[in-house]
Amino acid sequence: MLKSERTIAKALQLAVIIGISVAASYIFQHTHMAIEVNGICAYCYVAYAATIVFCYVCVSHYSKYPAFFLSFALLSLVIFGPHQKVIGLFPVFTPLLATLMGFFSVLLVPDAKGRGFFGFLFVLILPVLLAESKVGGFLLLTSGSSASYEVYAITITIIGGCFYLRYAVSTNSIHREFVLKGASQEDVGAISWWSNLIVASMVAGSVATASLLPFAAPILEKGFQQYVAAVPLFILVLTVGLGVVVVMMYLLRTSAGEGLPASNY
Amino acid sequence: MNVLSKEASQLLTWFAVFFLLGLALANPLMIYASIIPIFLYCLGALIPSPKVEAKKIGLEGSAWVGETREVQVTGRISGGLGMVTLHEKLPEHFALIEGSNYRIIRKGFGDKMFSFSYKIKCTKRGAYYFKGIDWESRQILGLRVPRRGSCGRPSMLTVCPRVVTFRRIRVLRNVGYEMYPTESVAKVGTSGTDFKDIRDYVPGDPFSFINWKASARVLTRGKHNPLVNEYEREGKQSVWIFLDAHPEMNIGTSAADAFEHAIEAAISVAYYFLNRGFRLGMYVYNDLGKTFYPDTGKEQFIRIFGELLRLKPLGIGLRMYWQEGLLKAIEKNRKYLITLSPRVVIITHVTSGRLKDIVAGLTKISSYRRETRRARTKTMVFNILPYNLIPKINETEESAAKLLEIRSRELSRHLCRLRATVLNWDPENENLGTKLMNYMRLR
Repeated sequence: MLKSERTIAKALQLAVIIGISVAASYIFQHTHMAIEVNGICAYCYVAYAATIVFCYVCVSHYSKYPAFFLSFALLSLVIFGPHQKVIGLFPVFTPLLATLMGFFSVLLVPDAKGRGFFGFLFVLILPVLLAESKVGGFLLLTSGSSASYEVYAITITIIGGCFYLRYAVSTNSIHREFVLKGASQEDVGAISWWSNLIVASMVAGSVATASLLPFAAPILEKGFQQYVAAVPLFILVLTVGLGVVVVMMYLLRTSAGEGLPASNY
Repeated sequence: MNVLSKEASQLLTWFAVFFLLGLALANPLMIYASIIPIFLYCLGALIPSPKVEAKKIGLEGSAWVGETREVQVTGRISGGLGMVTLHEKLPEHFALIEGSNYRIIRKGFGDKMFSFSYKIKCTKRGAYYFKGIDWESRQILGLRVPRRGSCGRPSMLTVCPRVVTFRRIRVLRNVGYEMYPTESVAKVGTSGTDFKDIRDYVPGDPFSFINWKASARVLTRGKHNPLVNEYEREGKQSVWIFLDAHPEMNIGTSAADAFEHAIEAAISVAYYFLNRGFRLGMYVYNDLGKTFYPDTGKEQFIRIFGELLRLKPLGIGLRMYWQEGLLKAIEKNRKYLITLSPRVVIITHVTSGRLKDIVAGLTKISSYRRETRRARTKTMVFNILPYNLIPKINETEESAAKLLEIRSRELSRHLCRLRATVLNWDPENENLGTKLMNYMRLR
């Protein structure tokens, strides 16, 4: 019972890892910068530099020397090899590396608790972070064939997947702790499946809410301007965002001030 | 409302990062995407950790050593969404036989009733305090610090050592051998009314005991000393138990060791004699020097039983009482051994290191009784052989245990030469009742 449920949970996690990587790979290949260096999109250089840095950061969680060796090998590939072709391959290579890291740290070694994988997620999210971003009125990245909603769908897929994996990993580590403390395998098996399902549905709910927001925001803005006050959207967003931060900070502070509940420990 | 965890504040940070980056880079997609962490944060803030109410049955009152108890836990989980762990902390001397005292229960959207049971075995005597069921509730996303607490009434369970009751075997007078006849009467104490003998008058005898007719009859034969009637003393003979509490008696596991079996033997022997009207005293040596003054009846048994229930063997350390030894213990209780001339039961584990002390102790007892060399001493040495209590993992350990047992049996033969009755008892393989039955016969 436990084995089958664990297999299903792991299969779900693997599907999410692959989904994130595929989405990132797609966006990597369909975005490009206006600036070109040596005939290659400058963005490839950014991906290349970020990969080397994060490769060291992520692998060094486990062992420093292999991390250093791997980063050095990646660096030397470009220095000694046909560097233009190699750098051009990095948008494909980075998601592959991230998938391997995710497979290792989330699924293969449960004690790793996903360490190292979340660093790679930052590299994966780079194109969607830069696409549609403007500095001084210029777009940093243009999303070649992809439409704006396509980029947004990929963005929320990666962010949602990242949060799901984070909670799934922490839930799994708690369940392992239960087993070590002497809980029965059946109990842990049932809990494991159920909590994975609940976490997945909660994250799916948040992703669904986020996916509806681009459509709901203009309607809300229009309604607000019509019935309350004519305020530009960015001021409205800023006010709402800051309001949310202030309220949450207040909640966080008051709950922290209450202290721990009565305990016999 | 309990405290939000570090995870929750990290969500808030992620929201701020996405939101501010979106604003700074004029990227509406990032602003929209920031809804994901804030949505999860709101879920964390809105969903509390579950609350637990529980009660347990089965861990109160008293039980015998080796008895299996079923503990039932029932309760209700309300509020929140997540999982609850319930844990009854058991003392190390309790063995879990069936089920688990550590359970995880998932808490969905509605209130949840739960019930589970487990079986435990009480392996050692003592009074055990159970404070209640510890619980810990975790929110499903772990956005709140786990809530911990304890529920259910505290309870006390007294685990009493088993009193082995054994039947007397009626055997033919000419073949019956035993060292503790149940009809043994006391040599000292108040005189009764049953006539025993006529003897010469000695200073101190009451005048009312002088048999004038018999005295007149012997006077005619030229004997001038008057004769007195001697009556049987009231009560039966006294028994004295020496219980060894040396740290070496702790050989065994946390569930069963030689000392526990020594206490079982002491209580069984005490029960046997006190139940038959003997006067019984006891001394726990190599310990704090606890003496139970000789007395008869049920009250004496309850007194001894209660004290032995609380008795904890000393560990090897700065407390040096365990160096007392049998000889010193006997000298300390000389007063009773001389005046009562009791039959002595020594409960110990014979090792080469302590043989000299036991031999010296037995010699001392004989000297107090002024026994002749040929007379059989009224002393029994209860040699507990604990080597089979220790779990063995390979043949070498099994062989070592056998060798140690043979060695101890061999050493106990030296005591037989001192005319003591030696009873070698392997608690793992031999029944105490059967073992004692051979020695506690009715003549």
